[in-house]
Amino acid sequence: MNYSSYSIDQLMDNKYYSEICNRFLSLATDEETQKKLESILYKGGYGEYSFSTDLSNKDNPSIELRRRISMAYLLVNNPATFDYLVDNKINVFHGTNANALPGIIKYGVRSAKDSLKNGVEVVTGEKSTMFHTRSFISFTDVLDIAEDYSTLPATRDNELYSFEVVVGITKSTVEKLGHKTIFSDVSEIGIPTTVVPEDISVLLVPSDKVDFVRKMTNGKIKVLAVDNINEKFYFVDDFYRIYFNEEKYQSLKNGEPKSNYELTGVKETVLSRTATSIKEHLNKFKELLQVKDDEDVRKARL
Amino acid sequence: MLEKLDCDTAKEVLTIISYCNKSILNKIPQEVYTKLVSLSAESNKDIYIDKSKPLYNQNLSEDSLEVFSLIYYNYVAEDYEKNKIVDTWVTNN
Repeated sequence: MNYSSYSIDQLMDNKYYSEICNRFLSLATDEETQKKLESILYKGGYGEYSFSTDLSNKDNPSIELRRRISMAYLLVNNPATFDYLVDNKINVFHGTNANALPGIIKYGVRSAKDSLKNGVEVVTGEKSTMFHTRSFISFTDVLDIAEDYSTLPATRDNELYSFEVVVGITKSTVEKLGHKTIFSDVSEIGIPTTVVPEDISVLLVPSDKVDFVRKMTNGKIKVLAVDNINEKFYFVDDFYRIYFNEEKYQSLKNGEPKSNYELTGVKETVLSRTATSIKEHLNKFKELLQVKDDEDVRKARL
Repeated sequence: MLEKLDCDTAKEVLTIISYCNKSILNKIPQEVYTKLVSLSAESNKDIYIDKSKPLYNQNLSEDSLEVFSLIYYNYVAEDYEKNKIVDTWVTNN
């Protein structure tokens, strides 16, 4: 199957591409993964799934290169997620963070203009420029780019964290909703309308957040893992030169476990409350449960 | 004091839960998540966690810590823990 209009020779014109292909191939632990990686890196697709959508008006061998290596990275980190994207032809992505999740689950992905129209201040990636709001939502068929947007800090303080979220949809969904031409430095697809939850094919979050986000969606939207977005062993600059981080490459090669962050001081926080303040907040708690009679709370003599 | 659970508080509570360990997550009923998501969706607030600080030093409202503590008491704490928690709350008065 012909996945891409760009041949491997064109990609190999980038002197770094051969090296990154070799690095990925050396991460394959079995024949099937090797076969998948070869198809991803040398052909730009797998099975009936092409990474390129032809939806963006900006495409060239360098963009195609980035498309392929981001899918290779996904395969080596989260093979089950890769297989799901392939089987369901999900190849259009939008990067954001956990602050956007409740709104996405309830209303879908909204443009800055739509959000402001409904009285919702835009808190994530679709911020307005200084002079005008965007009337479309930005998607891309380059997973790397969506992942970059999911890790953009909304503040300058790098100590603060909100976990990464990538929204995945299909090309057929984009065609159904319509898309705008965007003049951009990257392969960008503009969708001029809200992408409702029913049109979202998958939410990708760090693996230690999958269970939590599944509870948030309550089965409404598929949730799968995407890991190590911030731990990539490669970096592609604006001129499509590829730089390698040996330490991160070795970590990936050694299959080092992903670190899960958990809040500390939870029990201490609970124990620091006072009976008076707890009583004052009982109504809010009951509203949360929509219960009229809380047996446990009565038992506690509160 | 607000009688109703406002959307910003709901979002902060949801954020706290998202960074708790699995044993806490799994004990909270689905209805609580559903309600928190629904309320949080109306919030305009950006909430971030400082990975270097414990929960009680995070930049979160007292309201959210109180509501979270009630969730913890009601669903997460084992029976033997509940008595200890209540005794501590009364003592803290």
